[in-house]
Amino acid sequence: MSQCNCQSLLGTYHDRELDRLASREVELHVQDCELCAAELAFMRGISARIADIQPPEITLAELARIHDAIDQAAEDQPGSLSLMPTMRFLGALAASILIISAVWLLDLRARPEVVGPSTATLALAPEWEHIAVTLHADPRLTIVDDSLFSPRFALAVEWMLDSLTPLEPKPWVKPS
Amino acid sequence: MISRDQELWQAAAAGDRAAFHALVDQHAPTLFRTAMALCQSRSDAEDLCQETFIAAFRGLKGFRGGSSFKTWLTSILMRRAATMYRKQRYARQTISLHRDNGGNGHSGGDRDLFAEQLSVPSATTTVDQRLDLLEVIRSLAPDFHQVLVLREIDGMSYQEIADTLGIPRGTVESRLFRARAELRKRLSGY
Repeated sequence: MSQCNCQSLLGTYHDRELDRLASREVELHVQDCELCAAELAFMRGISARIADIQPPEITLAELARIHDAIDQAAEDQPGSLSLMPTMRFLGALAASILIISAVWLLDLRARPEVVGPSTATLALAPEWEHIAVTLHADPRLTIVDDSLFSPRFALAVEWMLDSLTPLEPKPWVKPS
Repeated sequence: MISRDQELWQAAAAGDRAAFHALVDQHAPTLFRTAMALCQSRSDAEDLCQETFIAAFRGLKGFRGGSSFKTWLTSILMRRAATMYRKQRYARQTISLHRDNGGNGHSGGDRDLFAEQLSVPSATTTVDQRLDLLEVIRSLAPDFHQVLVLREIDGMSYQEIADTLGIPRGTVESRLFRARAELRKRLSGY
């Protein structure tokens, strides 16, 4: 079916949503345009059919069930409302713990890895052991460096190195 | 001047449950009729009405009276119906446009009666071939279906439909125009 420019107004006219002037124009147009007249007749036919319908009424039983459902909802509501602040608080607490844990873990990963024994262990250990495990440079070089260690410490380190050195020591390579 | 509805919903919002029940008694018949035009069965319509009134009861304090209570209720109903439609979309039975005298495939006495009243003779004037107009309207896209029901069954004005669906008035006009064009196209084949 071909379209008429006026057809988009027909529905508005049919629904009585046009102003007086526009309604009059549509009325005049429909008298001359068969397409629009047929369209308007169709709309009126459908509306008339629907208007003639006796819609099913809600029964008393259905209405009673709706009232019961509302009463039930009203009974449930106070309990659910009183629980709400507690649930919100617990939710916020859980979220806080999660965020703090995540930040702590990220911070931990960002830190440089600590090599060697803990401070507490070192405090209990003998002095030579403290020197041995915390010495980053070549210990053999430090032995001869009197400016860093007292002779007593140097002897202790030498003794320690002698006892720890494997039977077949590998040649020491200076780290690059 | 304060309307009866306004008086009742204000009392209900203040905690007067009897006032809300009075509102239910007042609006349930209209709402049920709209629900029947939107749903596949009477029990669905009842569920829809129940959900609507419960949602209204719970959201009563949020209602500011910007629109009429009926418009507000209908807007809740429409949203619930859209949700129900989405849930049932995949489970929906195939709609038959032809109804023979046996009337198989349909259940529910009142619904059949309603459908029978909505049936119109086919365009080809074959006496035994009748169309279930309501089913055709239901088979339209939800946007079209909604505006047609609100206009033709609820008799709402364009502005009331716009308020109910939360869309501009112009959109209501264009949807109605397209809905009727689609309806005409579907009905013309029979």
